[in-house]
Amino acid sequence: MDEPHNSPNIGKNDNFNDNRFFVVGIGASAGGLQALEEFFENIPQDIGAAFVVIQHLSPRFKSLMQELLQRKTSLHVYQIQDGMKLVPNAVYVIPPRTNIIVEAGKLRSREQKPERLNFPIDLFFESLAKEYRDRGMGVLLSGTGSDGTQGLQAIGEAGGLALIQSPETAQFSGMPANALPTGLVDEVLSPHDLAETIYEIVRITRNIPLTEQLTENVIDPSLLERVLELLKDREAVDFSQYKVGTLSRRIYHRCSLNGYRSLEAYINYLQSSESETQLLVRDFLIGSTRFFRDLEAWHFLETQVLPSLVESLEAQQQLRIWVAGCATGEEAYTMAMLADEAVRKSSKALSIKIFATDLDNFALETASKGIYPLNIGKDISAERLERYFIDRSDCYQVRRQLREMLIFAPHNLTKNAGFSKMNLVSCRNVLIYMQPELQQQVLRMLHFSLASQGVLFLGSAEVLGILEAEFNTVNSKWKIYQKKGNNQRSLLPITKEPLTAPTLSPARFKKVQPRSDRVLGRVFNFCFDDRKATCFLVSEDNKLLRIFYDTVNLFRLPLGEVHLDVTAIVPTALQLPLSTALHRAKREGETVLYAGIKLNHEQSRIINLKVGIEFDESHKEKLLIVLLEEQKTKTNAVDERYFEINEETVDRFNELEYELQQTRENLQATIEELEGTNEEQQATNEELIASNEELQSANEELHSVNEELYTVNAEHQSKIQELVELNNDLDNLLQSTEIGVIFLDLELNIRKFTPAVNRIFNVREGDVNRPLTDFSHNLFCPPQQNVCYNLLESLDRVLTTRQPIEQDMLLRPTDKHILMRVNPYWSEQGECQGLVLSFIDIDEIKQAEEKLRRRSEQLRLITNAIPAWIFYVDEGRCCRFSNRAYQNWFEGYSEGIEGLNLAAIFGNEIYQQIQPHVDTALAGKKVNFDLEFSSFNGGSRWVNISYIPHIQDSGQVKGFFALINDISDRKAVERMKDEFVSVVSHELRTPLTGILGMLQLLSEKSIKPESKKGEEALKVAYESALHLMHLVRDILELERLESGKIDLSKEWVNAVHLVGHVKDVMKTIAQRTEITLNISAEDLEVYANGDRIIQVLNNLLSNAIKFSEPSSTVWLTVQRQDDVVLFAVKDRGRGIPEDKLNDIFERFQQVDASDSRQKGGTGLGLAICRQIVRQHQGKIWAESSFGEGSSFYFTLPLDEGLEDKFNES
Amino acid sequence: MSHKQILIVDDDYTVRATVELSLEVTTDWEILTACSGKEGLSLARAKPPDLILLDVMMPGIDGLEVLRQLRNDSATQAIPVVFLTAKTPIEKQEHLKDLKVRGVISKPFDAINLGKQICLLLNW
Repeated sequence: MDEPHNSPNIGKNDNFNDNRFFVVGIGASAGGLQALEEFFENIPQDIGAAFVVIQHLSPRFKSLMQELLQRKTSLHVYQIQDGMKLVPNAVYVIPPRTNIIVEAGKLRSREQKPERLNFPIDLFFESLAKEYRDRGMGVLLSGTGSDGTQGLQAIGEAGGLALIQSPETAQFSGMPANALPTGLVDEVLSPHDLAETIYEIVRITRNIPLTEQLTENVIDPSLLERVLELLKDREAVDFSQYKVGTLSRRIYHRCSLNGYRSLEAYINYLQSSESETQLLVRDFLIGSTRFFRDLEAWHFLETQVLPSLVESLEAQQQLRIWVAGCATGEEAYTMAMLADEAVRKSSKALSIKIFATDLDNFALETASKGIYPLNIGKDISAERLERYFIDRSDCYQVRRQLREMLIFAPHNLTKNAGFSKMNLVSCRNVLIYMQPELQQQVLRMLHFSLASQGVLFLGSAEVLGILEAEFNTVNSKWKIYQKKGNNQRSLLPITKEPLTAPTLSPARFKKVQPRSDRVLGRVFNFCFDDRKATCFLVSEDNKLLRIFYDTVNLFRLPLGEVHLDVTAIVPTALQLPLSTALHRAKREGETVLYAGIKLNHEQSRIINLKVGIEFDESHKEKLLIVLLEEQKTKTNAVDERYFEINEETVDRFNELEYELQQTRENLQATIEELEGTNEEQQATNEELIASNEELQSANEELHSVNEELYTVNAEHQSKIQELVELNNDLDNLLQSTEIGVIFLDLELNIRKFTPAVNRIFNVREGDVNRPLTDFSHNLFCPPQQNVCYNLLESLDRVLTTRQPIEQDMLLRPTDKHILMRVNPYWSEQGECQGLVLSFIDIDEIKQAEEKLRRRSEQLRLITNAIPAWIFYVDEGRCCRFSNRAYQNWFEGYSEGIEGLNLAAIFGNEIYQQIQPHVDTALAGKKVNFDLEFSSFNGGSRWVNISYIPHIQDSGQVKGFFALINDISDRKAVERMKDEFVSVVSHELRTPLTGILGMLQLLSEKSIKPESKKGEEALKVAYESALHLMHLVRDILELERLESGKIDLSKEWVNAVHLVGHVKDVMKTIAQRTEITLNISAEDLEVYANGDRIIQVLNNLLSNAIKFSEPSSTVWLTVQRQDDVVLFAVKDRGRGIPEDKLNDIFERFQQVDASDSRQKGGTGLGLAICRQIVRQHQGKIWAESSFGEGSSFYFTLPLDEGLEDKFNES
Repeated sequence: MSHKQILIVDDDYTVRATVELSLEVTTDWEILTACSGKEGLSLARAKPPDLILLDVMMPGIDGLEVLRQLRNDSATQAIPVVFLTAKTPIEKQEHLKDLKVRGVISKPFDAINLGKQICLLLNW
């Protein structure tokens, strides 16, 4: 009956609110997968509890537990990470190499220290108990070892549920079986039933109305009373003095565990079920202790208390200690160890007697066995473990020497009387369960039990109360007190039941009251009266225990060491019958009667011998009652006769006796031999036991190895499953791709291949492991390929270089294109272990490629034929196609710009100009604009640019086509036309101004026509009209000449004739300005249009006359010069500035217009001349030095025949 | 219409004669003529007239250049100038404003009302 020392407060601190959910800790070792799966399969999704799975995982492998469990449950399974918050309806799985605890609703993970023994389940369960108390559940599933036992105890103590898998359903029953004897386990079930039980409990707890729950931690007193009455009647245990809170908690615990919604119902069940009452009692008496719990207190005891106690005792005296409420014995053994050590240290010959008592028989049984789980190693130092315990590999057993110091006995502190003369009484954490009056009563009893100066050791939460005055405080913190003086206080008047007979005590327990001896003597005296009789009690080994009545006076104590063997102290004649009778009585278990034993010859005393057998209550020991009665001589006359023996008979008797003696000695020898044999056999037996133990431990080891193997096997199974799936996936993949794949080893033997390979090699299933070189194949290199290895070459190459090869091959006979890849086969370690050949049918791709190539070629040809630059720009603004115009226009190569960015192609300056248009085009709109390119081969050019966006059906713009036309010529023509129109308009408006203005003045009568002004006005108007007419005529003529509308039909004309015509026309004009005409011509035939040549000459001559000073000379000469005829017109006029010499042949270009109108030119004469000369394949030019006159020349070709022929052809 | 002095600069005799005659008949202004930009400038400098009727398109120094030179010379910069032009389209208005051109008369013009048109432009 032990509790954590904060237990008195449990009730007050518990806040039972509905928001708290159950947290189920599940402990299993690595092999517990099956149990876990079965468990979780039966947990419904909405359970409302959180599950934390703590497993012993191999530190070397990644845990697959999360995935494995997730397959079996609809709850979400998480692998625990530090700081994870616990939520209901989730499963948390421990990762390898960590310990998990729960703290403030969060899971904390800690690194496991591999050098130490780890008890992760204990660790977690203890934290669970601390954190969740009654809402914590611990479940121990299949596994070996002892981990979890202490944790379950902690959970049990804290009011939570401790559940284990029934060992018969567990694959490895070590862990559950280890926890079972602690007495704290609430249910032992199969995983399936465990799941259902937990679900039930969670469900019920959630459904119990809040008021019914332990809001106050106290149940209805009347209900409690009913329960306690029941227990008192049924189990004879009175808990009425126990604390209500503790009792309430335990009752609720059982109630919910059994699935009852109300206490009423549970109590009814309790009344009907005997087993349940026992379980409830055990729950009330719940206890869990540890070795050296409250280490500090024990240390104090060890160093301060025990030495002085030992000191105070004389040699040969007994150190008497009472451990009350020893539960499963840990504390008692702890005490024993310390006492033993103290006595050893003092080197006094003291014996130690420790009484360890508890109310709970079940716990006592565990205690007396002295077998504890391996994890007690945490609490006990290695040295002590070594000295006081035997390591049984899966448990520790208390060594005999320690065990013998202890007496375990059931004892009810509240009812039984105490032991006496105790040097030390330890009664820890028992009183706290009792109500104050009961506590005082028990304390008084303990006080009484203590010897003078005896020490009382209480639990840290317990107090002496009014008895404080009777003790000196030794240590107030650990509640160690010393009794003052030898003051035996009277016990309170409560009925003390006598202590029941010892059950398991190895030492003999004698309870004989000396007073009764006297009474017995009187009784015997009365019975036997004057008959001589001796009555005594003999033990099984013939030891004389007690003499009740002795009037026969037969005992003779021999000299020497005293033996209480009755057969040795009775007279010789009685020895044989007595020993025989005792032997028979013991063997047959019946009363034996031997009558008429003649004691000796001289006294002739006849003795009747009667041996009765008695068993003590425990049936453990036989007691023998021996009655020796002397026959009275008188009454035994017949016997006297019967016993009269003659000499012979005596001799015969002697002989027989001698023989008997011999026989007896023989028998003795035989017996001794047998004993020897027996001893040998015992030794053998011990050996056998030892080997058995060894075998057992070996078996244990095998178990754990087996478990590990099982785990590994399970993992392998799942790996294999994965591999099979993977293999299947790959097979299907290879099959579906129709890619031929061959795996070769380093010797080029086939390891594996796919059916698609059959087109190339004629391989079948049975050809695996045959070298590939044995097979013929249909692959050959395409003729046009530059570098191509045949199959074997490429295999060799890859083997030596370890570099993959990829090349196109042709397949006979269809000439299909096959892409052959040869790759090294790399093992996981990066070693080349062979080759992988893959054959991909790329015939369609090849054909498509060819088609594409042809299309592209066609496109290029077509676009190249177009006198415009066409290119395609993708959405990344890179040129993807360009026709040849690019290389005609710019320096560079058309294909060279494919792939280049627009900015790179055009340069930044132009790119910045076109960028907005490019943006527009890429936004999906058509663009058209003109631009001046400065980087043309032939200098700056104007171009017209059209961007036509390439829009997919989806509406996405993929790029645009650009169409660029060179419009420089058109631009120039346009500009010239504009200029021409502008000039013509000006030229026409000027005469019109004169005509209109003058005619207006005349018609409005502002000027009279007959006046001088009127005449002048009319003259101006007339001249203007004339000028206008000339202008129109010249413009039209020039236009018609230029457009070739005037027929210049040629014929052979004589140059002299031509000149003559001109001379006739010009003569009058020249005379008017007194100009002398000097005309000379060679006699030449010219193939020309005579009228037009005359027109030219007239024009030139009239100009020369016009710009000459009066009385000067104008020359006209015609002469042959090389292969042309040169016409020259010279004057001595003011000449033409050099910079104007070239312009004068253009339209409306006059050197100085200040007086042009006076001379009456239209400004088109020279332009017409030039046009005419040009049409004769001649040249026209002017030479002049300003102020010294001008010379105009034109040539006509003389090689008329050639020209004619040329024209004709 | 007080006594004004008008200078006509035009390379074309017909135009000069028409303007001269038109203004002689309809006004009492004194008319001077120049047949080139160069002559016009020298006349204007010699005796700044009240108005210069200036042709735009002339060989040699054209009308715009004449105007520019007039404006650069302190003696002539204040002389009002009206362009007389056969060019279509007429020069940009802004350009003309910069050079303080008072107006533009296009050829052919209304010979009867030329004087009135000039008065309107110059607020005479």
